[in-house]
Amino acid sequence: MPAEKICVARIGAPHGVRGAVKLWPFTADPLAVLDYGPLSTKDGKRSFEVETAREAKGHLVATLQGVVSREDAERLNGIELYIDRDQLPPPEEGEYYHADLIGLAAVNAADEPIGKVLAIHNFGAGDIIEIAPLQGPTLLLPFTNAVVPTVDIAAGRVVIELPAEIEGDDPAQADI
Amino acid sequence: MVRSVWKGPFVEGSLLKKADVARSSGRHDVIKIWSRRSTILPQFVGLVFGVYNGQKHVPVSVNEEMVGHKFGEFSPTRTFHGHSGDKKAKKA
Repeated sequence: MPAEKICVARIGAPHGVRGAVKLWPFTADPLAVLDYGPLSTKDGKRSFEVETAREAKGHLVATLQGVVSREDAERLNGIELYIDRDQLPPPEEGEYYHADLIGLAAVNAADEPIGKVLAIHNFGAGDIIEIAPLQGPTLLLPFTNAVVPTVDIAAGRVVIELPAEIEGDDPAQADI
Repeated sequence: MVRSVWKGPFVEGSLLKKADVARSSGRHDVIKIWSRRSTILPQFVGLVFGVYNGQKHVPVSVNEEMVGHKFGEFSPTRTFHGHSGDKKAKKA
C-alpha cells in the first residue's frame, strides 16, 4: 500500500537571529521542497510555507512564513514536513517512487511470499532493493529487469527472481 | 602518493577468474567478492558484483564510468537511513 503522506524535509536548528532555520531535505533535488507549496506536519494540524531557501553544506538555509525570530525557529526544531502523495508528478515509464515501492510484498515467480520491500538504495552503482525476508537478515538485490521482472503497485507486490551467486574467495576462510 | 603506472592497476587474481566464469555463463549471477581494494577493469563492465561491506554483499552493477575506481567506493560501510522523499528508482 503506497504511503499517503511523504516526508520531504525536516526542520533543524535555527540559523542566525532573524528566524531562519536549517532545513534537511529528503528530495532528489534539495531545492524541490520549494515546488510543493505549503508543507504540513504529519497530523496535518500545522503547515509551513518556505519563503526563501539557499543551499548550504548538506542542507538548506530557509526562511518560513511567520517565523521571524530565533526563539520561534528554535521551537520548530525537529519537525518533519510532509506533502500528499498526490502532489508528486506521475513517474516516467519504468520509474517508480521509492515511497510507492517501500512496503510492497515480495513474492517469487510461483507467487510464494519472500518478504517485503524495506528500502531502495543507490550508492552510485545502480538502484538496490532491500527485502526483509520472513526470517533472517535482509537481502540486497539489484533493481534490474532480470531480478525484479514485475512491479505491480496496484496489487501491492513485486516479483523477485533471486539471482544465482558465484562464491568468491572469502579471506576469512583462507589459511593464513 | 599515487600508484606507479608501470605496475598497472591492482586486481585480486581470483576476481578475474570469477568474472570470466560469470561472463561465460551468460546469466545474471552476482559475484560475491571481499576485495574492496581491487580496481574495476573494463572487462567487468556489465557484470554485477556483490561487494562485502563488513556485514552484507552490496550489489554493484558495473558500467563504463566506474572503470578505474575501486569496488569499495560503491559499497559503503556506514549507511544513513533517511526518508524516501520524492526519490525515484529506475529498473536497469
